[in-house]
Amino acid sequence: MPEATDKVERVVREALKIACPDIGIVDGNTHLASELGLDSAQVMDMIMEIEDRLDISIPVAAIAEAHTLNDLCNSVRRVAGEA
Amino acid sequence: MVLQNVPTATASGMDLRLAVFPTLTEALDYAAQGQTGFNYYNGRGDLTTVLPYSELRERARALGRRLQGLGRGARVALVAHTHPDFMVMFYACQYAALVPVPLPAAIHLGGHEAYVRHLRQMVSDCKAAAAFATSDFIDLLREAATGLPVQITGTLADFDQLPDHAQLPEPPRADELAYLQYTSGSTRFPRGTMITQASVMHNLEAIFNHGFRLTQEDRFFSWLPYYHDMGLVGIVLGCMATQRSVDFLGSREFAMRPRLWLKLMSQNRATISFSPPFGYALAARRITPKDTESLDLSAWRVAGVGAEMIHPEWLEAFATALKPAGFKPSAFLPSYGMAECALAVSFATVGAGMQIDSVDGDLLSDTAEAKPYVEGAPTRRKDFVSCGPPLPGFEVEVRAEDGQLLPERRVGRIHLRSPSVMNGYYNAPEPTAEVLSADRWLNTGDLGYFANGVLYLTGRAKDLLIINGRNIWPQDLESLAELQPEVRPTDASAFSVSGSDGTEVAVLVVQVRENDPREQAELADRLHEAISQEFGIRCLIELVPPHTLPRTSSGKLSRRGTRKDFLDRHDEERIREAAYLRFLVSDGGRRPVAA
Repeated sequence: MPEATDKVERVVREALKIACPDIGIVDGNTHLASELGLDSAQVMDMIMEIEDRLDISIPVAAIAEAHTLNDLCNSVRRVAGEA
Repeated sequence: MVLQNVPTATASGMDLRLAVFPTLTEALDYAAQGQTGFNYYNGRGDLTTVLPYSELRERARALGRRLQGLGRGARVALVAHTHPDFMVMFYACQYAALVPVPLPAAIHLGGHEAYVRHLRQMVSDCKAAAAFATSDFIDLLREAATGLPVQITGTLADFDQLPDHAQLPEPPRADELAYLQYTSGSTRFPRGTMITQASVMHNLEAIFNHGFRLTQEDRFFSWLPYYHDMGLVGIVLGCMATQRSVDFLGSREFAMRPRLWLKLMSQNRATISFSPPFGYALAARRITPKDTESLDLSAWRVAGVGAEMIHPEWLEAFATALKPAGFKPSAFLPSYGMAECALAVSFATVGAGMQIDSVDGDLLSDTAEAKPYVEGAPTRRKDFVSCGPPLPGFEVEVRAEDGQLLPERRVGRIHLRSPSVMNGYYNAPEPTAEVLSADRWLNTGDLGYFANGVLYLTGRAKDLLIINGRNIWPQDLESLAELQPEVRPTDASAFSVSGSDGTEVAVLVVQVRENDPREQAELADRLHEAISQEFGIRCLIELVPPHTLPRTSSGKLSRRGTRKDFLDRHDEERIREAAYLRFLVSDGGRRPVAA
């Protein structure tokens, strides 16, 4: 499946954009915290957007494993049962 | 599961007894005779569990019979997720005369390893005989406890399988420990405050009789974490000991949806809720005029504030935003306290709101004298918020660096003595001796002054960062830097500076020998990653050449000196800009004087 049409990735990217409106183009391997400088409040905003848009609840363990945008998409796919 | 049409009582139906019990088990024995208890709400605002004190007592006693085999006084580590199972475990430990040790339940993005390491430090430090977590955290806890001499690690279902004993042991005595709390320590050198039953009950009695006048109509709402002193002692213990009902929302759910705090308070006509200042700021930022139309916060009579320096403008923004919903600024109740004396030292006057003392800021910086500001005077004005007079049973002194007692309106270190004060830090005689004298005076490490018998906090003498209500020790940030291969021991120094909106901004200055900009950027990335995994904060990183960091005469790094030099190197605007950069590189020199 081409990445651009993946619903989870689209939602995660939209959520990231809402949590940090100033963000530019983000590569899937970008580290969210170190390179984009997301703090805990922004992470919470992003997670909330993802939860609301996909109607899922993301467990803490899934957050703990996610370093990059791709990691986060994979975690969300597992929760959403799409992996 | 969502519960519908399940009643949650506000009144207990019995005489209000305000924490006048020798121990926590006696307090729960009484609370269990009434109608009140703990109610849990999920991230959508639905009621999911009702745990009346009567049921909590019954379940805690049944489980306590199974736990007592661990041995009287044994420590039981509890990952303190906002969940009814935590309550059952905590109070089961009380009935089994064990010492519960609440541990943090907060993980940052990509923070798996850092969290597991942190848990392991504390489980190991308290020599836990058993460790508990809810299903969300159990895998992480098992990983953390691997190889440690913990007899059983599990969820409530696992503890329910332990062999039953015919009866409970003798209940805890007043001089036995009620809990250990790890709020105060650093992640590498945890410090568990040892609080006895007598100390915590002394503090609760003072708070609930003198901090705010409680009535049968009072109902609490709380999103405060159970591993924080305000959430654990004030709410989990304090509300039970005064037979009050509490509506709980998880801290993570609050952080995501702060408006739920206000919605649920409005819905349940809650009267009392506490938060660090950042919680009010977060809610104020999120609230829209449309939200306030549907809210009725007129019942909210005590909006407690504590855990960090109080910025009046944050609270004012909250009060302004929520005025249409009937929120009264007079509800703000500033307080001062710390885990080392269970919870609280002082409360401002109930119903009076924030009381501000304006002092001459220039004189304060120059001479540490807090002289009242005169309107129109050619000096800086500095505002401090009243934390009220010390609670009964507290002796509080403001002392100079040489230990001399200071008169009113002189800023110094706050020392205190009270039956609420801890026995010490668990298994740590040296750190204990640093803060607790032989005659049991506690050196709080905070700076402040008295005016008309009322306490004002002005800052900290100890090198501690408090970011979003959370204590972060500079040693922890420095040690993350020193773990990097190109950074040598004592090459890093951490401290905080004021950000544009009054928040504390963490700064880490690192000496590097590397001149290649790409290598420098790579180091800065690794530092950001490590700091964010462990603390979930953004930190301003400055790379400087070797021999930049100032040392004391004994050769120790001087954080205070590094901070002063840093502020000399960069003006305020540069620091504000830098907060959005990944790192700063500096030659370590003073900033050039403008031509």
